[in-house]
Amino acid sequence: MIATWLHWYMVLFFVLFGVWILKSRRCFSSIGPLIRKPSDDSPYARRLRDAITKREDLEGLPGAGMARWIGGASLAAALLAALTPIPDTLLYAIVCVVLAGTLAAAYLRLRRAGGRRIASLRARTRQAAVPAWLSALVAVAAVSPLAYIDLAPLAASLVAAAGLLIAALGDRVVHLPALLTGEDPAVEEYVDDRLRAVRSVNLFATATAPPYVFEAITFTIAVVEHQARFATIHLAAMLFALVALLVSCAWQLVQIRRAPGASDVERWAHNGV
Amino acid sequence: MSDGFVVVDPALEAPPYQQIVDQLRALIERGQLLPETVLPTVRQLAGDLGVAPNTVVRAYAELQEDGWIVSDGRRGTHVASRVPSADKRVRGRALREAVAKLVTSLRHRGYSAHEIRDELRRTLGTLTA
Repeated sequence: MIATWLHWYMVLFFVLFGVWILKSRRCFSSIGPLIRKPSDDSPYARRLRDAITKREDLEGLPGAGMARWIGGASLAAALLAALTPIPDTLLYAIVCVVLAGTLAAAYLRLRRAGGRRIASLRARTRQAAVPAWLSALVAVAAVSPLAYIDLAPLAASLVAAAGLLIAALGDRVVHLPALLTGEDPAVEEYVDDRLRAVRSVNLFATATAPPYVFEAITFTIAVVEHQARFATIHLAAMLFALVALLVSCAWQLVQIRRAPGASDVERWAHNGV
Repeated sequence: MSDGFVVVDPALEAPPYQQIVDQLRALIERGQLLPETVLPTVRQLAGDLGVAPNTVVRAYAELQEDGWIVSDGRRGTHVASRVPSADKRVRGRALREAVAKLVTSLRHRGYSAHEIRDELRRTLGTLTA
């Protein structure tokens, strides 16, 4: 009985996730929500808005296409889960692999983006964008599904691989070349710095979600459905992934809510257009 | 204090490394890049400008040779604590190079030596008037 409930819960999860991704397709290409802007009466708000719009045009990320891949995979997983005996955990792992692959394709597109380039002479440090301890926490959480290799070997390997790939993308995003056109370099540089930090932690949060969800499903199935005795390592891995997910999300929130500081505004004033 | 920016324009006659050298030198001379300011790594600057890393390596090497910047393994590359702007010999060489470049460029465009000399005199006269 509980097994049936769990199964249909997963089908519903796939449907809802797929529909949500398809409906919020702009979230992949829009960068406005990732950067907090000053109030509209601020003299710098217009410059910041312009720089954000220009940046979106330069990057040209295909939000709709990305959403179709990920949302489509999730809806296909719902269909397969409803109609075939393929294990739900394996279908979930395949959706995670599609998610990681789509994000990797977007990263490659970002690497090639841009036309005329100018460069800031400010040395960037990795630590300024994302702390090393967060990278380490996420990397460990990404491979935590391997603790479940005895229960679902293929699915655990796929989820770990997808999580690691997304975490690696989060790390690589920090090192992407700056995308400054030179029309308003100081504001463009601010947008570039903020995007570097926010995108990195967004990817970190995304990298920790699949391991936690996979482990929660597998753990529940093992305990409830098969009445199996879970090992301490299963519980520890799941809790670790949960902590990593919560910490990443909290850090993500801090980064997104960060408004331009006095030093930023001063720099914009000295580098006006 | 404003930050410095450099740009490489492929339409210019000067090679990319020279453009980087000229702009960095100008920023240091104008005081926009203060002594001891840490500069971007070769990889960062090359990536941001969309040029080959060797281009930046060559630019940094030339600036280091002239004493504008210092490369220190641990601290990275930074603006020299005592920039050579006061050094008459270096300043003289930089001026000679810049004028030679300008004259060569004008000769390539078909201007005669007389035309260039007259125009330079006229421009200097206007500037000093």
